[in-house]
Amino acid sequence: MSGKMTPGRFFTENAVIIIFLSLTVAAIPPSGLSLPYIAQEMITRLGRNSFLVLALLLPIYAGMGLNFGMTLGAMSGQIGLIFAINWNVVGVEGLLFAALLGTPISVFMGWVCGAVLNRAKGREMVTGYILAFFINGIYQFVVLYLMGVVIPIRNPAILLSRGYGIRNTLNLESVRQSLDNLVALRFGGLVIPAATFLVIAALCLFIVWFKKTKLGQDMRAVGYDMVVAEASGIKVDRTRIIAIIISTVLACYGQIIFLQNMGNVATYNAHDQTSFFAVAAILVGGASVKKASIANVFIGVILLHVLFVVSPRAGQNLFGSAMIGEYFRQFIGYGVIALSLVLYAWRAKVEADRKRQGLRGGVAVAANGGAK
Amino acid sequence: MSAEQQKSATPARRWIIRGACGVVYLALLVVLFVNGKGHVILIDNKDAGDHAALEYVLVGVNGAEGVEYYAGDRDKADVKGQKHRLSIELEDGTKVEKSIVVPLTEEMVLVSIPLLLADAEGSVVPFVPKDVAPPADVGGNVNEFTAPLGPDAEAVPEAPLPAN
Repeated sequence: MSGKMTPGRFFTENAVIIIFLSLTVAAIPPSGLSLPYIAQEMITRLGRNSFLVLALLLPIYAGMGLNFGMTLGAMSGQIGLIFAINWNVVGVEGLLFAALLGTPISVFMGWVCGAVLNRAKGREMVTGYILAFFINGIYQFVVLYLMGVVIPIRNPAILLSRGYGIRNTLNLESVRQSLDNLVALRFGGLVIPAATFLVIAALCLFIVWFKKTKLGQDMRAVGYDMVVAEASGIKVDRTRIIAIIISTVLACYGQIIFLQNMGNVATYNAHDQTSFFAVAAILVGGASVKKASIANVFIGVILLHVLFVVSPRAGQNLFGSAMIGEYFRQFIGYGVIALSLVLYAWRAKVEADRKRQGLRGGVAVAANGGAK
Repeated sequence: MSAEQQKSATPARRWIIRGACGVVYLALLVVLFVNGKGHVILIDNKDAGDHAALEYVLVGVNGAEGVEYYAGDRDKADVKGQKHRLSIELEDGTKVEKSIVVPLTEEMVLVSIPLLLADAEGSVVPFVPKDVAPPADVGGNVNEFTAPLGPDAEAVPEAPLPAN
């Protein structure tokens, strides 16, 4: 946006961050939680969720909006983990094994998602959201009916009592916090999973480097204007598919990192909320459908998850029921996505009006140095 | 190289690189599987044929703190990979280091300390439990495939489960 930054304009451009910051600051005192506890929870949740949220950046960069189809990558990661548990591959090797197994599945899923989104240009977000539901049905069919029958499962402990189908909760004891504990640093009572943060830092460096490559610049051009990019000789459809494939693969790895921290897998549900929480986090961090940065990711994860930590306790202390806090959390989570999308549409309209006013101003505006 | 030669060399080179990536991928899978496969070692201090159990012995696995074993004791150790080092300290203070190899295909093996110390045959044998009951599910009906709460609900106290 061009022109002077007035307080009103600062508020409209950062409304979501300001609202969330206010809510969080207001909720901390009634929650009764200590600052060291909140700090430790933040560190843990940053390590757990940041990778998933970073996976959203490239599709935004390529002009495809918020990739609700990242759920497909999450499902791929879970399938990798199921096989790692089945074959009893433990520790960090188990996580890497799950990631390697999940990679070709997530590449295929990303290709399918990208091909479908190319047929729904301009409606990528809702198409990705619905596609995730559809693929979820296939995933549940495979995991509930084919595993143990068509797909051999040698570990009876992960099968349902009927003899086929994976149990609804898988214990990840063999890989639990393997990455977090690989290099765990202790500072003043806080435990920092250094290895996890190193992996996240590596992804951030990859994204920074990728944006400077030809493919990254092609994605930027496609995100800016598909018609101009096509005219420039960029294969728009292919570039968009690659963006979604990379995002899906990163979501696969992110889900594995998430689940190793949690320590168990809700086989049929764990992936449901993946895209929702990741999208909510990046929007809370100040990103929009068209523009997002690495800073938005970390700001959003911190703000969203501080609220998630303090709101149930604040709800319990204020209203006498922790379920109020849970309801509040769900309401805020969906609400922030809706608020961000509405604000984005409103800001686009305001900016378009401002440019029109500038054109109507004509010579007088030009003499004063352009539109404000 | 002429333009035509370059043109035909590029797809071939591309396929070579893709093939090499595939080989590296499979090799990594195998390496991770072999090095990461978990096993259970049952350390057994019981009479084994002509070899009597030791009255007291201290056994450590892969540098871990030693565990006491009296005659007739058996305990387990969870290990990763195939090659392992057992540090055995006898009652008189003598320390012995022994190496064992767990077969890749075996989930659980029984290591007999008396046989191992005597370097006798059969010191490491596969062990298959008679009846392996699946672990209790974490809440709810084991045949259900829906859970009431999402994965990020750990900050919320769990609602009581309905009686079936």
